[in-house]
Amino acid sequence: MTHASPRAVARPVPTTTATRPLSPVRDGLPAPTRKPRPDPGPLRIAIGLTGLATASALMTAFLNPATGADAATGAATTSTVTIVPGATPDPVHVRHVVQYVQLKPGQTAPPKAVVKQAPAPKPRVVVVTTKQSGKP
Amino acid sequence: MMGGRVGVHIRPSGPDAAIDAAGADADAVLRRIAAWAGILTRFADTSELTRLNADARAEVPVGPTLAAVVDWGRSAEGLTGGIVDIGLLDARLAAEGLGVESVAPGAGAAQPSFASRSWSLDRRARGAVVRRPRGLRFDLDGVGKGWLADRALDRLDGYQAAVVDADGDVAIRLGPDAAWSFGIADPRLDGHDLEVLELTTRDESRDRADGRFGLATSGTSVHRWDRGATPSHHLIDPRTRRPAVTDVIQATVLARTARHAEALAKSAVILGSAAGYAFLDRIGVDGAVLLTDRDELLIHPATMRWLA
Repeated sequence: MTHASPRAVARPVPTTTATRPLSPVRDGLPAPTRKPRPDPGPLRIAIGLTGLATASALMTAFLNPATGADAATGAATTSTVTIVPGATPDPVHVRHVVQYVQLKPGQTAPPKAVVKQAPAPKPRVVVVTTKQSGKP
Repeated sequence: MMGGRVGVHIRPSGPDAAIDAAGADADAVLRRIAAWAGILTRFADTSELTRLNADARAEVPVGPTLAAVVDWGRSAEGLTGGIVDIGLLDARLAAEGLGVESVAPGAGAAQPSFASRSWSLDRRARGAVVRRPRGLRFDLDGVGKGWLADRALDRLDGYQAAVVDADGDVAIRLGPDAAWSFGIADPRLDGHDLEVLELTTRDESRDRADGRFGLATSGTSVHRWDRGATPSHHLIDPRTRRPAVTDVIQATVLARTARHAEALAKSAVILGSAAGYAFLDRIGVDGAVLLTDRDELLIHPATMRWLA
């Protein structure tokens, strides 16, 4: 039984050659001056900075997604945008709805918020742990 | 306290004023525990136990607290068939690498050597006289903590519920319609419990007439030293006078008192899972949870009604 062994086929490498006709030289006339082109440097820097700003914004969204409410102040917002990394390049819009904010002593409720009293604390059941002696 | 920590937990049934009184009572109990521990500890040169162990006389008078704990040590020995033995301090120090290794005559025999039965306690009106062979020294670290917890709890009868935790040996009293949860620490993972027991007097089917419980845990994974190829720990098998060769890493027992629970838990570890479980079943515990070195959790059926 024989096995067909793969054959190496030499394929011609395509080549491209660009040629351009030389500019005609007009005798007795000064060579035409080239129109000055703008310096590309500042534009490249601007594009680069824009890219950096975009990347920074994306990283901020990844690492520290905005939340719907600032619990420390009690201020509430109803929506925000979170960019979820994944296969889909488009950002996914997530709507956060704040159901309630637990007010700390001295804080006031947001306007039009319904304020409910917290339920009375239940009798505390202390958990004591039995362990081997000497265990911290 | 005797090389460990102690906690007092009180649940007053009255208003805020009762909370202040409970705090004062808890402080008083803690001071009382410290005074008892100062007598029973082997970690202080001035303790009565240290003086007894250092006394060369064959007969030594001791005070009422030391007499009571040594007496309980004798009772625990009887309860456990000699597995709990308070006369093995030298063997324990040898296990820690702090003393001269001693080997009992007939070491390795199937039956306990009962070497400590060579000592006796002659109770007097106040205190007792200890008689023991020359060189025998007592170790009350184990039996002393359970005894302390029970005695301290007696001073908190006026509260709806109270708990005294003497370094893991816990004495509990629950008044009518009370409940309290207790975690059994997992020795393999800090901050985690193997199980949680909810002791209660609320449910009639689980009622205990006096509301008293004792909960204690013993094991080989905390006081453990690596000496050469053989790991060493503090639970001495009186049959060999060496650290017990056991498959039980930790045993927790629920019984009527903390001192009973401590003695039974220690015995279960020393005896190993098969003999230890059978022993606890025969004694009739209120609950038991054994963790083996195969990561098995053996739960005595009596425990099931307390599992949270």
